[in-house]
Amino acid sequence: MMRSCALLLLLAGVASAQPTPQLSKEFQAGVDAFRLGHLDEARTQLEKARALDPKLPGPHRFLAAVAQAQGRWQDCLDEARTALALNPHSSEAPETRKLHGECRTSAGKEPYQGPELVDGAAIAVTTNVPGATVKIGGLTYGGTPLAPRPIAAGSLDLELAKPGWKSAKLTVDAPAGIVTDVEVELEPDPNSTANPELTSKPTELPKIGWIVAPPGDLRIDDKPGTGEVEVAPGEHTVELRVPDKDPWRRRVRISAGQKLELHPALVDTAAREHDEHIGLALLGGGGALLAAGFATALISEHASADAREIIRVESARDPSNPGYDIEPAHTRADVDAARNRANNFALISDLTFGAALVTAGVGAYYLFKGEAERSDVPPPFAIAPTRGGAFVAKELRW
Amino acid sequence: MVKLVIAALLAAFAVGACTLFDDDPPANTCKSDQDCFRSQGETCNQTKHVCEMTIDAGVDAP
Repeated sequence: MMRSCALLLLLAGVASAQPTPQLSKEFQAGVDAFRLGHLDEARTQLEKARALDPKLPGPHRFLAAVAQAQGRWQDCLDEARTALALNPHSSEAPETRKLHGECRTSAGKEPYQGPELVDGAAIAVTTNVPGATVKIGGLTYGGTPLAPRPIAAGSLDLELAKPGWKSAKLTVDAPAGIVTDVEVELEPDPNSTANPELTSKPTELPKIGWIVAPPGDLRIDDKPGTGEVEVAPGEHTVELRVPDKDPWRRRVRISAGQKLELHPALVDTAAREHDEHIGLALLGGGGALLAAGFATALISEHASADAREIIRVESARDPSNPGYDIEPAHTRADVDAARNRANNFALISDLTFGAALVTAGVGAYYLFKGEAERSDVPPPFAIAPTRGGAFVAKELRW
Repeated sequence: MVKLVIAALLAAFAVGACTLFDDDPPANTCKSDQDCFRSQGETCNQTKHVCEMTIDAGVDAP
């Protein structure tokens, strides 16, 4: 009886750890909607799943992804952070940390530039008045705004002080692998003799960015626009069409408050097509030379075989054996002629192969130079100044 | 289309390169008389290892 009760309790425990069918249904529907790009529907379903079991990290993680896609950076940061706090050792944790980092960048927060955060955390502190002294665990770390800096993960005791303002004490949890942003509102101290900087207000970052493009048929994320276009922070696809030029498509990444001026290097369509035609002609010529080289190589090989056969037959004819008096079919002069023919055609074949290789190589270069940009793949990133530096890469597609 | 042409050309070059490994035509060398056209009067010059026509001393020789 006792053993049965224990077994029942164990089964009940296992059952309670599993997501309910209702939760699984809502969660899966949310994930499916997200993957189909139905963001509002995904958000509704995932919020239902989150309400059914707030301790499950999955809904939080996908809600963060939905928030990123919708440009709700603070929601993205909060949900990613909650997902990491609920299960820091999840197999999805690296992706969630990456998501958190991307949302921080898009939100216009100062990027973390220290060593890679593996088991450690990072913290950034801002206040409504700059210059407040930040102490963490009793140690002074500097004045606000405190740029993201590495620190041991876990619970941190913060103390902020500035003459003329009430000091603030708070405890924050800094999970491993991400930057924890702490924003503190200091209140003026009426009893202080120091002059509080009452006019100081937090510097508010704009919530939009701008793309400035030259004249032409401009489309940003397939929506028409002209000149200076307001966009949400994040990644956008810009397409510019100008008569007699190839369409110019690039991806751009905009941070909040960033004004990105585009200076596209437009390609003249006629000149590019001219190069493409030269490339095709040279490639065709290379193919013809290649065929000629192969044919002459076959002729050379045939002549070699003739020479070998004559030698085989004539050297086998022994005067001491009966029948040697049969008239010789071929003489040494025939062998020399066949050998000369083989050598001459081998030389022609080698030269033709060489010419074919050079011609086809030049043709391939012209084709590469004259190839139109592909429109069936995501366009490359436009080279532009970015916060925290940039890198340039050339992508080769086959 | 262009990619197909380039791929075909590369394959053709690979096949064409095989002709570089063909045997050279035979040279007029020998190790013994068996390698020469004996029925046409050739013998192997053991010094030069080349088949040569033997000079016929004949009945008219002095």
